[in-house]
Amino acid sequence: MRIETKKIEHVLLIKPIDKRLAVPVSMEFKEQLVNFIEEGHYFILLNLSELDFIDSAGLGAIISIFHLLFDKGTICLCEIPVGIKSLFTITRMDRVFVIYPSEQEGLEEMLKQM
Amino acid sequence: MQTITLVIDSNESNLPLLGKAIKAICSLYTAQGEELYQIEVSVLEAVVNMIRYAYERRTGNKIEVVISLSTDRVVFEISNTGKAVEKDFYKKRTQFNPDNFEILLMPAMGLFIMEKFMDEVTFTEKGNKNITIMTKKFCKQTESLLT
Repeated sequence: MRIETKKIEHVLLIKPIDKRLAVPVSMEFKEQLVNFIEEGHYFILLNLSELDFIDSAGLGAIISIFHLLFDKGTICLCEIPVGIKSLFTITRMDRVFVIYPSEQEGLEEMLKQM
Repeated sequence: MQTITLVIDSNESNLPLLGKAIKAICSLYTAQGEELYQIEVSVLEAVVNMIRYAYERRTGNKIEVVISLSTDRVVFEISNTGKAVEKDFYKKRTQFNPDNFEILLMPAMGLFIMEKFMDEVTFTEKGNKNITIMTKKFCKQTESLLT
């Protein structure tokens, strides 16, 4: 899965460029994020603005990363498109994840908390 | 009521194309982006379950998606001729508890999503077919763009 990354101080910004975070690419996406964690990136801001589709496997991949980072750091989300927001609402993951309306706001808040 | 049948091979790489086709067909009756997403994700969750559990991820098998559309609703009849799932498979949806996300069984979350986004979901068997039937009533009734 194609992603863009940018490191700003201790925060790694990750932005999927492809439109779909779902079967069959969700496992590959999870592995990409696990690699970042293994390299020592423990504070991740995931920008979902380019997505127009996410399924349970895609959401499951993000949740797995949340679990992996639980005692080391965190993963926050930003810019979730309106069209796919309902998945986070019905599964109540909007209460589990810290979700920022913009990348800038997310970055500022995460850096402030360090 | 207008009906179209799509048939795909049981290969997960076909899912994006199937999703786009479903979205394009349903967009003739509803312009609601969020509703189109909810329909697409529900159908694809059902198809993924069939590929993974009825066909045990083996390609070369058919999955049929019959789409029946009217101005106020869409009905999907999704079927396979693979292994019938064990009796309590569909009870897994009750095992997904959004308030306790430690419990994350993937088929459970997929089934939970289908039930939340669609208005009716039923699972049945007919002959050698395992069938999932899902109905979505459109939020805003529109005239079909086909008429």
